Amino acid sequence: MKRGKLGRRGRIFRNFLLAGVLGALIWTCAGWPVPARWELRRLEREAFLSPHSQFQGSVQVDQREWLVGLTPRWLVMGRQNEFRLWPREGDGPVLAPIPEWATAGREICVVAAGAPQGTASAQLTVEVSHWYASFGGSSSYSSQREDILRSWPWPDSSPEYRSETVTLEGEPMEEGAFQFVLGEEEMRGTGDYIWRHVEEWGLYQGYYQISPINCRLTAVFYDESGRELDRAELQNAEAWER
Amino acid sequence: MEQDNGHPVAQWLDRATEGIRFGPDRKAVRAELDGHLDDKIQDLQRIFPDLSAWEATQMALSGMGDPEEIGRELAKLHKPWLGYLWRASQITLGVVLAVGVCQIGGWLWTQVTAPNVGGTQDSWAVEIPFSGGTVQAGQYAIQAEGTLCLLEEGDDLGTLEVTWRASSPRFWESPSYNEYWWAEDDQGNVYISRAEGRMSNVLRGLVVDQNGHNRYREVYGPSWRRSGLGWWDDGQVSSVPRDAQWVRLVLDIGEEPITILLEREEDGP
Repeated sequence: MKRGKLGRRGRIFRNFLLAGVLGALIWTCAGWPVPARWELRRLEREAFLSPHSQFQGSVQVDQREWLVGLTPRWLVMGRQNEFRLWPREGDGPVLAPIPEWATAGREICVVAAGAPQGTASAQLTVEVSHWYASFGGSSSYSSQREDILRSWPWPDSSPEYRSETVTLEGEPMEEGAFQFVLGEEEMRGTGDYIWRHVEEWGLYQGYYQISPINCRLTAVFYDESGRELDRAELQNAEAWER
Repeated sequence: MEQDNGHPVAQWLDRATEGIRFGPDRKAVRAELDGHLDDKIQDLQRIFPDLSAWEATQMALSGMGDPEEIGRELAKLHKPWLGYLWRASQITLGVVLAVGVCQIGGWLWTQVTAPNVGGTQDSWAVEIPFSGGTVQAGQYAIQAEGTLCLLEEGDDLGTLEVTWRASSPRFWESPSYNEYWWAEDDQGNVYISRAEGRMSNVLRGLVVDQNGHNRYREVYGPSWRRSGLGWWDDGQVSSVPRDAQWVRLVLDIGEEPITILLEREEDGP
């Protein structure tokens, strides 16, 4: 054996040591990827959220994984470089859309967390409505008829009222929450622009002076025998009251 | 010396090495034994020039000993698990190196293609320093200090430019942008968070300046940038009265609110 040349055992040790050190370095550079539950914890630490949420599961929207947690005050949603808090009222179930418009997948995902004990299945009803006017190649829509009449330059074409209702079955997530996916099939027949608003947090949180659509989401939770246990509702403020 | 399988040397080598289960070892030992035998045959032919090649080979083989006996010893010496472990260590190192190269390549690419953003420095007519404080938020020690900046000498409202710093024993976990920071001052004014500011019907935080323009009292929190093992960034509290004595930054998303008090150090002009 040449002087200074490592034996086989030495080379094995050296190789594994190098692999370990390099592996740790790569893991660090990649942002320490860990299982979803720990990842949500990390996102919460980085956003100074304490105490941590109760992990509800993860949702895949257009190849992006959103992690969902629940605290007494918030429905927590996070993914890489994004951390969002949906306010929770009371201690009952809470309903919120995943803030993502999956243009490629044409999917809208809604999460219902904090389902009551014994929930076996859940169903979501999505109701959208709006006033619509079109003339030539132009069209306009709004939740309020007056809004269209005010801004529409063709007084002869009166706005028509359009409404759509879709019912979705919930897919259970890891920890008792449910996700509802509004897919291309359900959205067919009406313009994407209408459904796009369903997952807009601003619609429900007062970002609009006049909402573009009326939207109401109602999730109903059932036990094994099909008995209703509880329900959660989400709608934009002025919707359905007129 | 290359031997065909029917040759006595090849047969001897096969029998002597068949107990070594790790292929690369078997090949290496076989080559080494082959070399020995070759040397031995040549030595015999040099010493005994009358010896035919076949006779020299037979003598060399019998001098080498019983191939089964040697095979058993060699098998004991060359444990297969050690060979497989060695191969595994090579593969592992290879994979890690390949991933590392991709990672570094990707990082270099992002560095090369990243836009070069240069900040603009505002020129302020008046700058009033506000001393800050440090607060513990989970694993992070967050520090903030500010300077109240007025664009014109006579302005009654200014912008509190806040310099944020953070550090954590988990130096690899960067704090994230948080749009829920809000603030209040000693005059009872509330500075709304970015989350609240987006709402169209927000009246809280609305203020009219000396020129009759509507302005918002609003907090722009830090996005955090790496600085050594810690992080820093600039943030703003907008529309702060020039005579404000303190501004308290508040983040109220957890069980207990996190607050940082910024106090005026000296009177401005």
